[in-house]
Parts: sequence; structure tokens; C-alpha cells
Amino acid sequence: MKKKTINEKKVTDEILIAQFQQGDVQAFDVLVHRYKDQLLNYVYRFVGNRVESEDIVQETFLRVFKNKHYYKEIAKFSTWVYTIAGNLAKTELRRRKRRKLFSVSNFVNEERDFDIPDIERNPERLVDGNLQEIIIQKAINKLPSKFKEVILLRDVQGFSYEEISQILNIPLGTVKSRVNRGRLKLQEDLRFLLENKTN
Amino acid sequence: MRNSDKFEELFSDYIEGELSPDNQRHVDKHLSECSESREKVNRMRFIRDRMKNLETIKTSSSFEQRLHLRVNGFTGNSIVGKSRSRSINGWKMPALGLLMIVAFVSLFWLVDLQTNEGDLIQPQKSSFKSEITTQENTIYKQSVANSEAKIVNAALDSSHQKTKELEDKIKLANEKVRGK
Repeated sequence: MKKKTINEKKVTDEILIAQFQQGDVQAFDVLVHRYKDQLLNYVYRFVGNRVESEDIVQETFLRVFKNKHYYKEIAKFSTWVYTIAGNLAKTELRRRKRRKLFSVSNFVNEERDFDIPDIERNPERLVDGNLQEIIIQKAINKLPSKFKEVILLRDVQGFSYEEISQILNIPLGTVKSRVNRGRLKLQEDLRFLLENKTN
Repeated sequence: MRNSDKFEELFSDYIEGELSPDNQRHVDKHLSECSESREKVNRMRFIRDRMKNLETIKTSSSFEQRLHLRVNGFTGNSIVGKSRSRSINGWKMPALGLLMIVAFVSLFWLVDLQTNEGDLIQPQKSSFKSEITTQENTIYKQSVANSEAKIVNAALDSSHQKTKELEDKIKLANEKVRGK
């Protein structure tokens, strides 16, 4: 069993997908095991709903299974799978937006959900790491999609600018520009939270 | 455009150490002179570092099992030769559909044919039937007549019998009278 683990670690994604294309379903299982959590992390931060995020990640793997022959070794496997997951996440957000247009709640002020808690009255709560995460996630949720996706891929998932450029199919300069603008927007929204931390 | 705005475009690269040495020096100088920009850069750096350490979300324990079910549902439990079976399925469904259409059409044609044949047979049948009925009626009438005749004959026989008995009585009576 230990030897198998070591072999799995050595085998690259590209070798695994090639084996899967030859009919080795176990290779597909290894890829699922490798990517399921990180994909969920990305999609969840994008979409904000745990159940929907798992469905999206499931759908991502199902598409990998169905369309394995479309993968060519020109790009990395991670680029391909993140492209699929990202597109599905964006589709879900667009669908939500359309649902919201016809929702009765349009007449109700829903800003309440996105209000940042009144930290200034309770500054000791700033040390609460969980609360910080919630607040940061809310600020991420408020970002436009085009900034959110680059920020998540860069700062949460740790992709290089070149990889992000391939995943999103946008020029490198555009990636850098959007990362910068996304970070500027975030620091503006989280100003009150960070004034105590950064001084 | 404010001087700060011009430098803002470089803040991300500055944080990540990706500026050229010259640009690095220019931004350093600006930050030493502008507290607002300095605070912005600090906040950006803090957020970037914090996001690297956000809690990692994990999939549920049944995730892979559910995925296998969906995959098996897609493949029909048959994974080997998948691409081949796909090509077979490619013509199978249209062929099946065509077969069903042909079956339906044949069925309707047969039903229609039966109905038409019935229409043709029906008049003959009815004439034959009426002929039979006529014959039967005749036979029946005859039998009725025969029965009636029998009854009449029986009645006649009976009356003949009685007449004979009466004649005999009269004869006896006459003989008695003569004998006196």
C-alpha cells in the first residue's frame, strides 16, 4: 500500500490523464482524489454555497470523464480542469442573477446579508480568526466576477500569472491588471478591519 | 491623474517583488512620501497573506461514491470500449425509433384493413343471414302448421272415436228395443 502511495505521488497529472484516455479508470480515480478538495475550495469561494459547490465539482469531473479525449497535452491538466470548474461556477452565478431578477426579494432590502458586523464597537472581535475569514469572504463575494476569479486563482489557489492567463484565456497583462484592481477593491472594502492590524 | 493613482497600478507587482529595480526604487520613494499609499500597500499585503491561509474546504465523505454512481449511470456500467459503444449507440437509437414508427404504422394499417374487410363482408353475411332466416321461418311455419295439423287430426280422431262410441250405443239401444 505504501509503495502504491509513493507511485501515485510520482505520477504526474499528464501521465494519469493519458492512462485514463487509454481506458484506465483507476487513473481517473487518482485525479479525482488529487483535485476534489482544491477544486471545491476554489468553487466554494466563488459561488459561496457548499452544496452547489460540490455539485459543480462533481459535474466538473463528470465532464472530464465524458470528454477525456478532448484533452491534449498542450496545456497542463490542472489548467483544463480549473477552466471547466470556473466556467461552471460562472454559469451558476449567472443563473442566480437571472433568478434574482424575477424574485420577490427584489423589493426587500437584502443588503442586510452583506453588512459587515459593527467591529468598531467590539474591536476585541478582530482577533477572532473565523470572523475575519467570514468578513473577507463577504468582501470577495462582492467583487465583480472578473476580479474574483483572478484573485481566487492567484491568492487562494496559488497559480502563476501565466497559468491564470491560460485558465481564463486572457492576456497576461490583463491578469496582472485585474489582480491589482481586485486587491485594491478588497483593501478598500476591508479598510475598517485592517486599520488595527496594519498599524 | 494623481501621482498616487499612477503608482497604484504597480502596487500588486511591488508586493510580489516583480517590479524592475528602477520601478522598485520609484515606488519605494513614493511610499516613503505618501502615507495613504503606504497604508493601501500594507492592507493589500495583509489581505493577500490572509487569503493564502484561508481554511481549506474539504469534500464530503460520500463525494467519490456519488461521483462513481453518476459515472456508472453515464456509462451504463460499461466502461471498456466506451468510444465504440458510443458509436453503436449513435445509430441504435434512430434505428429503434424508426422501427417503432414502422410498427405503429403497420398496426394502424392492419386495423384499418380489418375494418374495411368487415364492411365488405358484412352485407353478404347479412343477406346470407336473411336467407337463412327466411328458410328457418319457412321451416318454423311448416312445423307450426304440422303441429296444428296434428292437433286437428288428433281432435278429429277423438271426435271420430266418440262418434263411433255413440253409434255403438245407439245400435245397442235399437237392438234392445227390437228385442222387446
